[in-house]
Amino acid sequence: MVFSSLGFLFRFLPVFMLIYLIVPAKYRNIVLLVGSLFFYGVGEPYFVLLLILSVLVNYGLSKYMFWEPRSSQPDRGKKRARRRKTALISALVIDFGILFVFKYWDFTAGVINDLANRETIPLLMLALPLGISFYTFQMVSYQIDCYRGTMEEPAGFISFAAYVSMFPQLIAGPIVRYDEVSDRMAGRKIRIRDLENGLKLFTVGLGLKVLLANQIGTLWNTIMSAGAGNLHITVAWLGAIAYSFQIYFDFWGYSVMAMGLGKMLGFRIPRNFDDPYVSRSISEFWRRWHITLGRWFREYVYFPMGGSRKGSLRTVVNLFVVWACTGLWHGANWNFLLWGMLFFLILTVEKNSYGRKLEQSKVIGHIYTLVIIPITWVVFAITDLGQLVAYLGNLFGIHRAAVMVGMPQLERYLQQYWVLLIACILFATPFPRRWYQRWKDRWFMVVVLLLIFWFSVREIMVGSNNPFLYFRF
Amino acid sequence: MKKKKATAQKKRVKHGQQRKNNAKRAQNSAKQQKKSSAGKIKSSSASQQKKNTVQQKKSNVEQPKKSNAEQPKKSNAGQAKVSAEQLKKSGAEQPKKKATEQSSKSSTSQKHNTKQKQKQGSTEQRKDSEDRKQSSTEQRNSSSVQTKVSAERRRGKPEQKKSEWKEILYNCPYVLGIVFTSLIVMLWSDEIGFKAIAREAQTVMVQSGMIGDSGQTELEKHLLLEEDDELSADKPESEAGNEDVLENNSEIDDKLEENAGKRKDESDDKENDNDLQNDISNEENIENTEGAQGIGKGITKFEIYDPQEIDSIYYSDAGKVALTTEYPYTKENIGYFHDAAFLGDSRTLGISDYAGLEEADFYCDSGMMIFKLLEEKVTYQKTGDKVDLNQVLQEKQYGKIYIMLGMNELGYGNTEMYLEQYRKVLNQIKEWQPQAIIYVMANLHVSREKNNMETEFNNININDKNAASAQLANGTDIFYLDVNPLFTDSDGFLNADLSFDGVHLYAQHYDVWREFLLEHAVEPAEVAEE
Repeated sequence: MVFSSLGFLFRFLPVFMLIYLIVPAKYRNIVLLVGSLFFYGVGEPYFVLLLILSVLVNYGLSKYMFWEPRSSQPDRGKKRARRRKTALISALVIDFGILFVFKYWDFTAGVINDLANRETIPLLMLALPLGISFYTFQMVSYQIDCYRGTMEEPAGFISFAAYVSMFPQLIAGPIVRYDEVSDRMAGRKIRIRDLENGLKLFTVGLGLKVLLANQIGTLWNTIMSAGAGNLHITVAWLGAIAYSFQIYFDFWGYSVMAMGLGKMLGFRIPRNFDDPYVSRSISEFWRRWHITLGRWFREYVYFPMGGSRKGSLRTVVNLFVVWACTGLWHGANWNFLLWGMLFFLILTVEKNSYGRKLEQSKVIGHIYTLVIIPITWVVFAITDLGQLVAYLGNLFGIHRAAVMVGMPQLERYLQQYWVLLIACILFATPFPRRWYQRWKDRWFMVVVLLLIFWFSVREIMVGSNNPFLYFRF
Repeated sequence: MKKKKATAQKKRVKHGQQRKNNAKRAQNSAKQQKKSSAGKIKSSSASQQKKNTVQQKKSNVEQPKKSNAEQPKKSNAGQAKVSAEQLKKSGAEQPKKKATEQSSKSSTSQKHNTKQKQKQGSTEQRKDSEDRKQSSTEQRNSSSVQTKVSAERRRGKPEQKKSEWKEILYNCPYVLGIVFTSLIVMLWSDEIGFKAIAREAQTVMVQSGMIGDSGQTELEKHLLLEEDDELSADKPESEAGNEDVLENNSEIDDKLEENAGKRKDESDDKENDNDLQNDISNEENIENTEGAQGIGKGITKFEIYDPQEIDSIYYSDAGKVALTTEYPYTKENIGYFHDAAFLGDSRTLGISDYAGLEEADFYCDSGMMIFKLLEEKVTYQKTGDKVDLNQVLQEKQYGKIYIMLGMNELGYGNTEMYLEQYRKVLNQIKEWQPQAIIYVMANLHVSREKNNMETEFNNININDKNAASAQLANGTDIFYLDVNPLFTDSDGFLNADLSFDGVHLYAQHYDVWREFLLEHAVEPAEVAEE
């Protein structure tokens, strides 16, 4: 089920919220768990079993990590350390193993088969379970936190299961750490203000997704429909910009909706985006884009490997690993790896040379970011390498085929989309959020948000299929 | 006077905040304050204490009555504090008058002011409470005051509950707005409303066999009945379809009669032929709508297959695929399009953009529908202006008119409505453009990836629409052209290599389409001769 569907808005959410508010506080976690599993099961009737299985196994392992045998033996500490290590390693192997089988098996097998020039490893052709990348990362973060001892005591089963499967962030993040929700898991009060503000936030996210991302997405689709390789340089850039907006508002909208829903349920889900497109360097961009994912890789990969404290060569190696993983996390395909590598290159160069200067500059940094980011998104968007090369060529005015989409089409696109483009530019700046913060409690904001909500609903009704871009990652 | 006092108080508040720098914590320790105030009372003289309690009573009674609903829950605690403050002040030998003045002020003043005072009261109280900690042992003596206070509290409770409700209303206008509007919409809307819920529930119940006496025999009977329906559905349906077509043909023919005359008898003959042909064609798995074999007369054939059960309000499985009208087409060159008009949606836009038909006129928009074609303005691609087709088609005569519409209709109305509207549009165009040959172009299928049987966005639905529109082809001036075989695989899915989104062809493949159109040209002269 997606948030921007009529089934969610007019069936699941009202019924769930009603039950959730009526039941006594101590049953809320159970209601949340059951509701979330239902939410997941509607879209993925079989994979919900996989989710439940993962939760059970991970819970068992985390329990084992904290388990103490009664009899006190002389080498207790040693044994405990070994036990913890065993539990952690098995959790990592199981979690990443499942992720690998479902997400990376076919890609890896394809590569090996290509290298061997015959079919050595059979392809599995498995469908990707919804949100598996997100919930796997959450469970892994929990296990590592348990191992490190940042968690004083293991979560109860219901709390842990509800944490992993909580429907606001189950399928497309943000990737929440357990300590961010643990106190609310233990007991939370749902205040009227939170309900109100949460619903408002949810509406804002819905508007971003439906009224901006989906709409500008049609421009990218139109341009790509003409075919990468046929595009005039201006059209190619317009397409790249359109896609940059689409993916941002899509994902940001989703995260905001998750935050809003979290608030309505009495949780505080962390922010995932902080106006990434006004960054002055690519490093800054990644501090503002998909913050919870960047945090995950930093805390659980980059720092454990030594971060930047073990000499410059080691730093480069660490960065390489992190960015290769980040790229592949987004999808099992060459273009995602390439995309990660692109960031590795840019960030390494930035770190060692002009990065700091850029961030101090007022204009150049912004221009630099705004030129580079659309190119990276093109690499991200086009999975077919031949088409990708053709499109990148078009971005720099290099054509192998005749230009078929030129000025007349550009003129038409601009005529059709200029209002939307301006709106997108505006919403990529920090101003709308500031306005929202200032005015959200005013009465006219209620009217504005109601309009946004119902316009979005109308759009959803008109356009029947609009799967989230970020769903299958 | 009052103002001055207020500012003075504010200053004091500031001072207090600076000192403690945490007014909230101070408020939280309201209980403590009460205790300490009680302690204070003890320290002041007995007579004053009496008066104070009276005063406190007054203010406490007054306030719940006067304070309107806007005052939040805290107000009670605040009142206690305020009165405690009075106690303190009078304890510090302040004239009685001022104290009463203040109490009345606090009860009538705005919410904002009261809050301020509450803060002030609490901060000052805190000071005092610290000063007089040692006197807390004497608390017991002042218990009478406390019980009175709590009695006041109890009395104020029902009203407070009311204000709590009002507070809820006041604090969540948006939630209420959404709930309220949703209820209205759900009462009214067919798609998301209670009607839809009832419908969904019913289908679920029917599917799970909860409706009716769910004995096995009953269920079997039900199934048998359904099968019967299916079996018998084939023939009558296609016959009905043919009747429709014939009706329509005669309709158009009627109009032709005015122009060309002497067609009526022929068409009657054809009707008979047609019936015969149908019987034969059903056996051969090929079905003709227009059976006449005369020279210069095209035949539109259908390939029959076993239809699937479809549970959708938008479409059903037609059970047949329409083929390009059979006709001795001529091959023309690009000049053929000099008097051609193309009407359609985003895919016709693709032809306009990339097929290189410079001379033809294109009237198309993304999202165009057969239902909107004559109702709304359409973009004339040569100028980019929005034009009214009603006007254009009456003013300018075309030799050929190509129409391709149906994709945006997949989830709108149903196939019968689509066919009705298509027929209406064609009749209208024939009226305005008696000389023109009309090409009804099949809607291009979608790719396997895009094909979604759970929604209405799939090739069976597209095929349903195509088969419907193909019925309108009469082989004389309306022809059905199916471009699908050029671009689809053996299962009828659009080749994935030809499209980015599984719906629109890449720009470079429209050449193939153009060649197809040129190879399927009808000489207008031939029609005129007839």
